Amino acid sequence: MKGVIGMDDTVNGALHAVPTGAGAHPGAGAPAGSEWRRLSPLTVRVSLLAVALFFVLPGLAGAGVTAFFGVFWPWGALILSAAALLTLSIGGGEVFRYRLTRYRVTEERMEMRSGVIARTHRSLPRDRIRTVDVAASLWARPFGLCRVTVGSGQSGDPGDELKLDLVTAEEGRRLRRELLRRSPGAPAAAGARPGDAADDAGQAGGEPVVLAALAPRWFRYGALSWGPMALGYGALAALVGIAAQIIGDFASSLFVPIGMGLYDFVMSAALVTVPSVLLGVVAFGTSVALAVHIEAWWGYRLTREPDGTLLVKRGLLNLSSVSIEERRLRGVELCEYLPLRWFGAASVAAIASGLGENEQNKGLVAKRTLSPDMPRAEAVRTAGDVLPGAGFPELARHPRAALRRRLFRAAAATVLLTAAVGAPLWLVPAVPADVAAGGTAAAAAVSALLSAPYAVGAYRGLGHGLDRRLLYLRGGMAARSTVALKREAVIGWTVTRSPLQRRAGLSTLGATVAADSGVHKARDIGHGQGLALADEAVPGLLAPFLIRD
Amino acid sequence: METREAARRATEPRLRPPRHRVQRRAIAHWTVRTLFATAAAAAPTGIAAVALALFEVVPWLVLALAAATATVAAIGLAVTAVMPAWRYRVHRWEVTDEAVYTASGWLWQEWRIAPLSRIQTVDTDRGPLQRAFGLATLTVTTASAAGPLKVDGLDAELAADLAARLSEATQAIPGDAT
Repeated sequence: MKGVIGMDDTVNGALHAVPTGAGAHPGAGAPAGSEWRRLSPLTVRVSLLAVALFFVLPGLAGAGVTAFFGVFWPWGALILSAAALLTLSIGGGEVFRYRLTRYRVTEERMEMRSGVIARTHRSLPRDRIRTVDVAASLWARPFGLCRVTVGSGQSGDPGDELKLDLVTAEEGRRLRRELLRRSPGAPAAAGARPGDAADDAGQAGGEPVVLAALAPRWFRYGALSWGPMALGYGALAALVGIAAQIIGDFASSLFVPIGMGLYDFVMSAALVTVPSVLLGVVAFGTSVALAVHIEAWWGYRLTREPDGTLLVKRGLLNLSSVSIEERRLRGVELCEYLPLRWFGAASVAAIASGLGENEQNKGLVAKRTLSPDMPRAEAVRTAGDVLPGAGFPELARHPRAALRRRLFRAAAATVLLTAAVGAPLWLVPAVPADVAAGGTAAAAAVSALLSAPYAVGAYRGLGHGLDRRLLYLRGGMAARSTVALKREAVIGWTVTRSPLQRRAGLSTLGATVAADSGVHKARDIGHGQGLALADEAVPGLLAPFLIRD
Repeated sequence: METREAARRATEPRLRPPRHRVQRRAIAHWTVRTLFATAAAAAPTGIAAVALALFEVVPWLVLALAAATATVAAIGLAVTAVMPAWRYRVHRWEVTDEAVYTASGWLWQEWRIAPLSRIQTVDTDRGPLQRAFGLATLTVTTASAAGPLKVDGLDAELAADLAARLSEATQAIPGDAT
């Protein structure tokens, strides 16, 4: 929670803090279903279960251990009373929280009253609601509960949302349906353009359409996806760290002889041990990564709901469902990250407003992610289904000057790396000259061999294009992404030029979009090329400020 | 190759600068601001150098601190000498019936265009130093998270007028400008 207790949360006028005394909003009326509701009474039990697992069980175990060693008084008693105190205070807090939290959905707004010490009344106008996320955590699932997060996504402020923690799954579904249904009384889709309205009309009513569903063979990409991979190898590093500490503590005193023996053995059998250790590392990292990936994406389904939202459902233990209003969809992004790009994989993400991308705890999978890594052709098809017309055609290249800039940077990086490795070698007197020369040459060769292909890849990654409805911008080497933006969603242009770009006739063209990402850039596009692209993409906006001769 | 590129470039569109310059007084404002910033940046090492010199301890550290102060001051003064006039040449603005168009920066330059229909708020800011020069900054916020358009160095009255005009123009357009 952000903010200090005792302050009402008022964010950009989206959430109006109303004095607690004020009752129902005048004019809100009280049609059926708009009465104040409570969270699920089971909420308290879920918290108590968590408390029991985290505090009571360890407390009992601790007391048992102290009793075994005959020091139950005072240590075991202390542990037990601390656990009891924590359980009581958290449980009591939860009871109060449950009792004092009320919410309701009226024709115009969603309101929530909460707070044990300082009462807050938060209210979110319904035409500002962009997302309704339903998440059922491992704790809540046995009780059939879920957490509902309602966001308006104004400026991506994390405080700008209402969290119902927890309600029944049925209530979660009802809220999702209810809140994302365009209320008939609301000013018809403020901000929507005629084109969007036409799109919506075509989908009103009927069954959800499945745009993509999980194929188990996609899981093989999991081990190399960034998030799971980082988690997998991170877990391994933590394990090794702990093991090293334990071994370090003991080995220094007791096991030096054994350690030395082990060292000799490893050195004598390096050909066998080094590869097997490497293999073990990879196997462990891969299996953790795979497990994490499968947990996140099990049962994945992307559907277009009859109410004009895209719904992403996924999760094995922790279920998550994220819905994105299509009206707020500005474009789609095709993410082709290394190393998965080498295996022909890609994933799809939404470019939309109100997804709260600036939130700090994004979790493993960002809200805007629409698909796991899957074969590129599938990803392109899915992106095309999400945003009709997104075909990701061949894109135009940027000028050769952009390549020269990247090669120059690669050369600079090579020189710096070589200097960083070479300088200490030459400066330390103990290192013989031939070793220093060899080391420097090796550093130069390795960094050149790495940075030159990177520069070429980065240049080949640059691209731009335009078709009847969409503007395409591509960039990035390791994290290559192609964005397809609705042309009418571009709400402004920025052109930035560094001194070197001005000399090379290049500029960085930014298309500003009313989405959390803000601006999508075409880096090092030809200056005139970029202006022509911008002028064609949004006719009339740039034209008055252009000179053509 | 070179000639073909030159020929191509001639037919390509170019951006014309926005129509209006900012106030000439802005040069003086930027000069004073940069001097203040330079003084603030050089002060910690400078004060430390003087203090250490007074107590006559660690002479090499005094030398190093003095050198650091001199370097920071030299860079700051060089920027002060070059930046304000350069910035004045670049900074421009224009408001048409359809769009706001701004140019800013000096070494790194930026041109921005936002249609009036997508403007959400228009503010003017006046810091104490700006007030001393009778200047103001106009800030035009759009629905994008890319940050607002800013015109630094406008006459205070003109900025207030512009803000009022822009707010009026944007209020006339329905929708929440996204």
